[in-house]
Amino acid sequence: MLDKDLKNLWNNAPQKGNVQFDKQKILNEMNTEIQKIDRSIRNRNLRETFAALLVILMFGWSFFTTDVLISKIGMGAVVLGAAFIIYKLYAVRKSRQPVDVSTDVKTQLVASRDYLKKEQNLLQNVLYWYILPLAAPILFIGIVNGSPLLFKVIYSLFVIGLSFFVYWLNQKAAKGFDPNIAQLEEAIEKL
Amino acid sequence: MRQQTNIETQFFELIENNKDRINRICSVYAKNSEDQKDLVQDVFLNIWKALPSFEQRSSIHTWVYRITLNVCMRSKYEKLQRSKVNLDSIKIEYPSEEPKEAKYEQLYQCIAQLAESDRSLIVLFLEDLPYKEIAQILGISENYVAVKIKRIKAQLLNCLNAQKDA
Repeated sequence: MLDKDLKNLWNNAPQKGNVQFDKQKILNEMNTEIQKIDRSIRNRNLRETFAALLVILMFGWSFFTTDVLISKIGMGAVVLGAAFIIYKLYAVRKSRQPVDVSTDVKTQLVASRDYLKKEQNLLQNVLYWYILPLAAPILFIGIVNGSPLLFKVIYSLFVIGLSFFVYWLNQKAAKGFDPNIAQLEEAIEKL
Repeated sequence: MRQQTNIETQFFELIENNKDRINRICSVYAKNSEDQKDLVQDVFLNIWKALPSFEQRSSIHTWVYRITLNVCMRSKYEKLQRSKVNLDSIKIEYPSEEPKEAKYEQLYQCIAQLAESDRSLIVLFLEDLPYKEIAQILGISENYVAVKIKRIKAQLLNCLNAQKDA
């Protein structure tokens, strides 16, 4: 079979359906869809920031109301930890540029792989930017306050257990990126 | 306002002229007809979004092919997928009794068996694009396109012959 025959076969193949579009509705619908996507990203960002702000408010309030210096230090550390998380999420969002869909295919594949690696890296390092800045001072506050020993033990076990659970969840989610990253590596290599 | 009207006119012209091409390529990457519709809708949406920033560094033709292939290839990666777009104004209508000759189905089946990157190359070749343009769309050298097309064509012909004999 010659090139021409092959191309004829492709071009003469019955259309896999005919695309129809409503000229009156399409632009409105697409603009609404774009707004919807932007709104969902904005809402997610707001939720993340709101959760951290809540922690800042709660511990910030306790920081000013408590008289015990050592607890004050702990509360201050939690506030700083939460502020660091807000900063980290902001920095990640800034670097999370959408991949330009009109670039050439190879550039797009490389950018997509890098994007996924960045997201995976964020989950893998959750211990340093999320768990430790919050869990360490929270644990510290529980240990240094004047509660009975049994309470301190249960409290510490709870905080440590929760931290492990959050860590495990994030590592599991990070592993979920492996197949896609491997497929992209393969596609880049084969192209 | 006038610029917006220009963009709208350009968009309609662009999708009217390219809708069959876009649909053909999406059908190669889609798992089923529903998936095909989603891909076509996603391509249209991305063209609309990117059109104001089109810089004419490449031909509009090349640009449309890039967007189509990028959207179709991206759909395969679960972690890159956004929530599905739902545009009722774009539909794909299938004739009730579509005559399907075996040779056409065989061609689609053989293309589907190729590696993802090879599929993009052969589709552009079948669309009768010059090697230079294929190279620009894929971001590889023209020589490499020629070498790869030769190999993929042989693979495709083997598959078609095997199907014919079966």
